[in-house]
Amino acid sequence: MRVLGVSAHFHTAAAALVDNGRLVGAAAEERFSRVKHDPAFPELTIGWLLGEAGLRGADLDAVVFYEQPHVKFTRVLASTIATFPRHHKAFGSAMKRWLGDRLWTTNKLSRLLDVHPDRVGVVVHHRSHASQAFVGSGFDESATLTLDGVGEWDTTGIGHAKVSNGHLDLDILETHRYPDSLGLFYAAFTTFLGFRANSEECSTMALATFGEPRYAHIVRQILKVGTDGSYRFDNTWFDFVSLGEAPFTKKLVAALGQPRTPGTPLPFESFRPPGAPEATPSEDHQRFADIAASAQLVLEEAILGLANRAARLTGSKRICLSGGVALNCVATRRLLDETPFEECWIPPDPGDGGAALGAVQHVLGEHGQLGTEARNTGPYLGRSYDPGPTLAMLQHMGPNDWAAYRRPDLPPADTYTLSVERLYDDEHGLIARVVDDLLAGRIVGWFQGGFEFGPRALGHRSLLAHPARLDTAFKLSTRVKSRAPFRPYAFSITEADSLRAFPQWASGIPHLARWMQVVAPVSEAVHDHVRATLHIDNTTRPQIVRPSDNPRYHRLLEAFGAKTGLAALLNTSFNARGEPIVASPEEALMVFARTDLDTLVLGDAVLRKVYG
Amino acid sequence: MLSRIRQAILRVKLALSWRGKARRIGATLRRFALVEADSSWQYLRAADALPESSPRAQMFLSALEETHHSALFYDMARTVDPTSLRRGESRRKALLTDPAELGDFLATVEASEDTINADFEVYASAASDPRVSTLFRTLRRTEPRHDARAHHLLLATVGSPERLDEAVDKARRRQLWTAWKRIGADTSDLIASVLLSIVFFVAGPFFARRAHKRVAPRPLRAPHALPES
Repeated sequence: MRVLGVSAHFHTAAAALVDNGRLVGAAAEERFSRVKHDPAFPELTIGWLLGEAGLRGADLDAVVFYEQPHVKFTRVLASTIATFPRHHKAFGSAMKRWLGDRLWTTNKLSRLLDVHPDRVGVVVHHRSHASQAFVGSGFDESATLTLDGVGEWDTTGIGHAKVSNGHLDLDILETHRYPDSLGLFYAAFTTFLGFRANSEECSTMALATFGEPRYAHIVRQILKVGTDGSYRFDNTWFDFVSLGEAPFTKKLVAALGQPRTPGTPLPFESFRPPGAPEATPSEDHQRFADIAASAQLVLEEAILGLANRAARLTGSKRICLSGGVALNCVATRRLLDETPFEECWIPPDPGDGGAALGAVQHVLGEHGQLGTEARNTGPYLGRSYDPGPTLAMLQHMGPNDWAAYRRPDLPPADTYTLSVERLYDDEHGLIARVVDDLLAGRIVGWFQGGFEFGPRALGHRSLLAHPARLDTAFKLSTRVKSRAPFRPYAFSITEADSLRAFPQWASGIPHLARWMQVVAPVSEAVHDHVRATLHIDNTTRPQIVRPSDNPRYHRLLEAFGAKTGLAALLNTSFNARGEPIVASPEEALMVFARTDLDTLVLGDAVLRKVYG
Repeated sequence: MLSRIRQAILRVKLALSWRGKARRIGATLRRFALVEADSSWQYLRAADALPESSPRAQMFLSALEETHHSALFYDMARTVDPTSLRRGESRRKALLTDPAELGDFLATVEASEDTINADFEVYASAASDPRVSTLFRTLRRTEPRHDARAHHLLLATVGSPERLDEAVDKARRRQLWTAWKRIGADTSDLIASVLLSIVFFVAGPFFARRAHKRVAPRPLRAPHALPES
């Protein structure tokens, strides 16, 4: 059975394709369009998937959209009219979008792909999410918990899933509906704190560590968590229709003070270079950190309530999470520690992008076709590229040609020449070269195979650095990534060395630690080895790498460990400010050319800036 | 002639909309940042479609330059209006997907650059902030770099200056048609806005109460009661 799944129109559009049991690929449209969190209909991704499989649209047995557009339309309509006449502008722009395009998504899919309309279907938003969460877990049965912004009307769903003989049996037991929404609640606070909603929630989470939850009593009035684990949102504090701009009401400002002006500095640091003076936050800065801590605490309380409720409703010892809120890795740590669940699983892309794959898995499950490959979905599902043409291009240009295009906010670069080594049959030599560079404090762009599906860079499109060197991490933040200093980095570590860093997991490493989905405290014993990656509370969001997960990356970690005593590397996403993670070798070369990235590994080739 | 009329309209529009309004100037700069980023993306896509490494390198350098321009516009937008969280919307449609269309793509680039150069001077003159004027004038001076790259490649692709002129004329006609369609789309958008406003204000009061009930928080949809603990 050939099934194409599509998600679009709200946040991070994506597509996924299964061809007779083989998962051809899955990718977010942003990787092809280079528009971060691109919600546009994923035509480029679909084009890649069909080309990769050698199929035409007419060859597909089913095309499935990840939600019901006509049901979602009723919610959009009701929410803009409910506050008549306040949202007349929002009504106009929403109706133009919906009546002109979105309402007819299935027709569009049929027309675009030349597929008979009978073969185009929809899956309920939360069923797409729950399928995506459960199917890839490898569990035979599990509770499912979807923590979302909003789908059609539902925002949160508790379910129970089983699979046998390729059939998926998924019961959504209960749901919370709009406007009760954990995702919108956290997005609204993210806007209050001067960050972008549906994009920079990670900044709210990072900022929370610098604060105390002094405002929790107010936030608990906004999000009321019941003793039965359900929750209620009081929408007199926020106005979700204005989520992208100023979604807070006067009542909220009266209780918490003025919101933060976007773009103003926040003098908090997860690390600073040796000898640099400590930043001193003002009272107002501290207020923002305290508000972030309060929102984070109440969100965690709500998630724990829901998880405990799910445990009681389903009786399961396992839980699978999905929805954008599942990316809150501080909350997932508490879920692991404080609920009856023994195992927890989150797919590599728990958000709306991943729901495209979930919709495919749902259809396959209905037809009893959930084979091993469709169930075993790692993160490396994106397009792979041959770096050969990019390397050949370097014969016609070099550093002198691109010097004028250095990122304008960076200080002038040191002069350098470019060295290109091709180590096609010499992986040992390639790894040795990269390890030497990392030890010397150089920042390495690591580009291998197909790109990751989901928001994390997991050793195919990663920027790597020495995890103990604060000077290198500082350079990475200021001269490559333009990253806010209060946001910490994370590290990858081999499974063999992981228990030295996380002795608390001696009885079993959680699944969530494989793909950077949970925050954990790091033992004092390895603190100095990884201090550039730790948050101020000595926690990190680790990637524990098995040899089978990513063989070359694992060998690199081992080789680095042989020199330093711990097989761990600082690992962050390979992108420039405001851009999606790089997909193609040219995009990687662009970051290399415009920033102080020192070394770029493109498959088997090593490009190095030789200074002086 | 058309170009002069266009610039005159732009001058009047900017004189009215930019006067002392940092937010609008910031929005214009952000829009230019998106246009330049889109242009960079087009060059990258073109590079990806080209098998020969030399033209590929030329496309890559043009992409690099456009990314740089996009960053300059974006940084200036943040300087002029640091408080906005808006990024603007950008829809991609690749101009070149097949190497056989390289000539058309390059002709479009050449035709577009002429228009943009003239426009940049109008924006530079309209800006009261000298930093914004300087930025437009600086970019006006550097834009011809990739224009020259495109010109040389186009000449090599089509074979003669006469064919080059033909290709550019054809591209200009395509641009006119696109501009005409855009005017049509903008007009229909305006009409739709007016009609939807009428619908909203006429029908809204009748449905507001019902809609309010629909979006009001309501009890948990819980078909499964919790088991006794």
